Amino acid sequence: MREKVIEKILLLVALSSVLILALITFFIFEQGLPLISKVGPRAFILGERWVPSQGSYGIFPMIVSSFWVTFGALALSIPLGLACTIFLKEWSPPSAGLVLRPAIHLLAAIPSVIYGFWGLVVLVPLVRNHLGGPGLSILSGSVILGVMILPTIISISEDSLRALPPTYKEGALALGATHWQTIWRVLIPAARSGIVASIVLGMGRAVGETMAMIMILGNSVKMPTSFFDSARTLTTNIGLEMAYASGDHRQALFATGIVLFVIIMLLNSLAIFLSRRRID
Amino acid sequence: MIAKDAITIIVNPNNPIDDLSMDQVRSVFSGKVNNWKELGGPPRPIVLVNREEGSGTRESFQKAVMEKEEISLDSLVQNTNGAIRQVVSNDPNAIGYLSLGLVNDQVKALKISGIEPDVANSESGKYALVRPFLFVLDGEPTVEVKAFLDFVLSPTAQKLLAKEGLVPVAKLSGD
Repeated sequence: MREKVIEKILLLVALSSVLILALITFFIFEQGLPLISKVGPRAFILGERWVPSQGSYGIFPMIVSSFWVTFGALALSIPLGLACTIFLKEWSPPSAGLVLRPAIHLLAAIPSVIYGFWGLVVLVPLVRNHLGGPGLSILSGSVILGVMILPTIISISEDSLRALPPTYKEGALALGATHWQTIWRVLIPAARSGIVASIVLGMGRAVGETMAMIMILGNSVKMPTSFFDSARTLTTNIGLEMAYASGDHRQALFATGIVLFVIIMLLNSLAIFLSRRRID
Repeated sequence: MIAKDAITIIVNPNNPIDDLSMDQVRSVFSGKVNNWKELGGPPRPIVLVNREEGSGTRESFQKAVMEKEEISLDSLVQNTNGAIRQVVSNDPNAIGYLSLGLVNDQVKALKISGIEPDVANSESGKYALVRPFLFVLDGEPTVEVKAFLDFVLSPTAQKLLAKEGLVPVAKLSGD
């Protein structure tokens, strides 16, 4: 009897987390949808002017910027992350691993505002003085974001390499393949789905990052045309303007949240789908 | 109304320009003039630093300076006075605006047609970029609220506000 009661209580607690998620989802949609239907979904998503004081609510430049910054970050963190993973798994002497692994995990524990501050004080002046433009740019944002998602990519892809049966490596080496050929032709392809999942998860984190991006991207609302342009992503639009927004403007920020929500859901579903495929 | 605040146009201390007319400020922020050369400065692009939509400072700036013109969408956007100051103090090409009280030696405040933005000029009405700071009440003030309002408008509090770079509205007593 007592056990049954405890079981029910635990079930309720477990359900409450799902319930909270459902409530948040409902709230965001309830707040944002009226504006989307008022402006028209097409004009909202594909519109290129965001001037709430004049009633223009087009978030297309922000969608483009979000992806631009994210792919810039991936271009940096995929090669770096993979190289680091391979080194850790295959070559690093145990002592190096003892230092490197905690260091990489620590990278994930640094608050994003610290990354943002470092970027603003160190990276932005470097970009401005040596490459031109205001320095507050997609390039600076991508570099910072690339470092921020490295831990995700490294730890998950290393796990997927470790999960491979040792016979793969032993078999390849026994057949006369060099160590590098074994890694590149056997181990990486075999762990491919896990590595891809790590990248998609990193991408999800990159799309969602806000604080550091508000500090580094410069937040201008026009369509970016180069890596040295300032830009505004979906998340920074919300973070930047929520404080003083009211009425339609506030709803438009919730509507921005809906678009972000859908993009993140798609990315996470993709990650789950890709990592499940490993089983068969 | 508890005080008035002068909106100050600021540039980097290394910028040789000290003085712009209202028309010049307007054409800079609308994006029509986009190089310091056109204003008598070095041949460098102008970097606009703007407040976010919804900000009161931006709204006042729009009304007082831009009138019907739109602030260029190319402008960088920062959501605090502090961030505006930070960006302008770091970028030799930047121009921005913020409250007079928050100007410090990291940035240079521009004169508008020869008029220095300071408390005395804002009080006398010579410096035109001035906005009111308001307290808004819902209904009649309670006793505590009333006492606080009386304090804010008292000479002591108004002197404190003036010290912070705001323009006092209540007449200060003789001393």
